[in-house]
Amino acid sequence: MTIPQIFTAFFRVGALTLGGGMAMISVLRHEMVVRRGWIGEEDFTRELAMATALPGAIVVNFSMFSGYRMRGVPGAAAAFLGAVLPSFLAILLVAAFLFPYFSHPAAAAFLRGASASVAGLLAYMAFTVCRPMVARVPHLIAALITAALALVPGINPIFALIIVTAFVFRLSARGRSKDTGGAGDTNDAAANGKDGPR
Amino acid sequence: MILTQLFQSFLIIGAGAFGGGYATIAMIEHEVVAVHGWITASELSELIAIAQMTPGPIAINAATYTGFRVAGFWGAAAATAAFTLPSVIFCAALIRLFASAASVPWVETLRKSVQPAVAGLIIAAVLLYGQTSIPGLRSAVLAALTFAVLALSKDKIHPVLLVLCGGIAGIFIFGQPAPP
Repeated sequence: MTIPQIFTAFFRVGALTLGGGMAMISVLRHEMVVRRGWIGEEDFTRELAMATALPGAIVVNFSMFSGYRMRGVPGAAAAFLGAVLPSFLAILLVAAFLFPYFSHPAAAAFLRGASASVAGLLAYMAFTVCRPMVARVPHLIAALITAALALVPGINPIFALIIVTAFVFRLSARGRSKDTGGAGDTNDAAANGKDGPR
Repeated sequence: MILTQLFQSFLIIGAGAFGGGYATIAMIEHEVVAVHGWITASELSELIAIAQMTPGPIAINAATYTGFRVAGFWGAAAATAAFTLPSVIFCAALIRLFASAASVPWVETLRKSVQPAVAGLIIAAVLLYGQTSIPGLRSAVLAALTFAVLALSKDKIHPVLLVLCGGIAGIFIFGQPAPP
């Protein structure tokens, strides 16, 4: 992918996708993983995981990781701008001119329908994207505990993230020392072969 | 200076907002409404509505809009730049770390170990979104239909097209004039 292609891909998705960064992630997955094969399934999962584990807008973090992998620092910059600019421009437009029209009955009804539809899209995304992240039962339990903790109001989800990650880390570190190359390590081994930043 | 204060506040928000758009809005509520009083609580609900209904990441939308409300175009620019700056720094640091420590075994284990928690954060974000966007049965049916079409079409249908269909369906479902 060339630098302008990277910028355009992220800009297009940012400009067209209602429903926030998660919805953008699922549209990006559709366009760049499923349709065009620009991003491999494994790279996508790994970069989404890193993007979510950092503060800030998830899709913006994701754009930098995947832009960097494709074309180094200029690629990261192009993807970053492509992810942020449509939102920035759209908000200026809405704040300056369009907001009064949001309450027009037809527009409000459209937005209600669209956002319900986005909820279905996000559920599908969570289903497809999270599956490789929770391949084993203890991981699924860890994920559900994190989700429950993150939904408690007043707790910054970072604490849930750190505690659960530390727990899973201990679990897999112990599994590793007990039987190197055992069943629990197949995931890690597979990733080790293919990873490695360029 | 309002611009430097905005910049500072959104630097804090950008560095502390984990878990996507709703975490960011919670941080904005604290910094911008409670601490500085730049916008009122009712303006905050307007902010949330706009951030959700405008294309793009909810967090960026919220930051840009708050900045615009507080100090016009340059406020929007300052808030957005400040909000994304920690992201840029953290991502660059992580890329560096993984480049220099790619062969260290525990780094790879750590990278794998974060995935279940990340899946949990994603699930939580989706549930939060569903909670606000599915207020009743008709919305739930629309959401379920979208899910079913996506799952059955095996990624043949573009998601943006489906959301558009959802919106058009919404005009018919929710668009009837309310009884007087």
